[in-house]
Amino acid sequence: MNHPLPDELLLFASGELTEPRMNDVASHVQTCGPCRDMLAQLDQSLVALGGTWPPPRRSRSLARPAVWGGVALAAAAALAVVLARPSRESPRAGWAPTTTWSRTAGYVAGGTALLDIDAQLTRLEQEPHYARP
Amino acid sequence: MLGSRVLLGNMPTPAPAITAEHLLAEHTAALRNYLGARCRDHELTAELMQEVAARLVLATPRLRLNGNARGYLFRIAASVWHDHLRREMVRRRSAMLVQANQPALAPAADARLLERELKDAVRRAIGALPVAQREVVELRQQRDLTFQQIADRLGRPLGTVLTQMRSALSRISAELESYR
Repeated sequence: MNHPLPDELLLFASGELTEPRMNDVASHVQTCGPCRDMLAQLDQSLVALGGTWPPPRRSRSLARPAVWGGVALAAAAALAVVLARPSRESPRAGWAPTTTWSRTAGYVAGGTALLDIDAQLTRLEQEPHYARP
Repeated sequence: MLGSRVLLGNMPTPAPAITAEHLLAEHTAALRNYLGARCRDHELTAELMQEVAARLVLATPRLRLNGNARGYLFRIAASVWHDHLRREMVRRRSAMLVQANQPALAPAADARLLERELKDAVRRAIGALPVAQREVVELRQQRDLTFQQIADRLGRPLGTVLTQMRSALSRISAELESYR
């Protein structure tokens, strides 16, 4: 594949390139150093720009149901796990660390750590760019 | 978590509802390819995918996607990647200051200070942009519009808007030399 056009790289960096070019460019930049460098430079500027302005204001009446919905879903999931836990085992018998370090979230859950998922969702909601495409 | 619905708005008939997991399932391979190309790390790709899913699930109750669910998904993915880069940028900058034996601050205060420094540099660069470029940047950042929407709003060809945005980014990049 030829090198993508600079405009295509900008669209790619912003997640706005359409198929099939999105896939083509994704494959290309994995192996092309110069294109990767250009992309890295675009990314750096976009990142800096994104941190400068707060995200567009959303009305509280729209945002709050989403927050409470997330809390309710996490609570429901935690309840499901509590109900599904085998009752014969000692509470401490199967204990194991439930979180591992993650470069994106600080920690990730390993399948059963629903409280950790709750904490992670709470953290994500506090990000200035949360849910902003 | 998995029952959140995405409503496709502005349709003549009652909008069919699709779930977040359908959206993700339909585009998982392409999303993984996209994020994999960005970070070139399997483990990190998986973590970024997880974060995209989490944001999508919590965002879906208030979405009106006008049929472009895929586009929305990839814009979330780009945003997740950029947030990751932002944290890395601050972390690297912090490590550089420590190496340079500058007085250490508490980590959180240090990060806030660096973020403020970065924002000031970007604002200076934006303030110095030609009006046409600044319009594009402001619509992009303040209104959260896609480049096509900006082109429509300003009555300019998409290619012109992209060129103006790239020029603006180059100037910002020059202003950020010290952050590399």
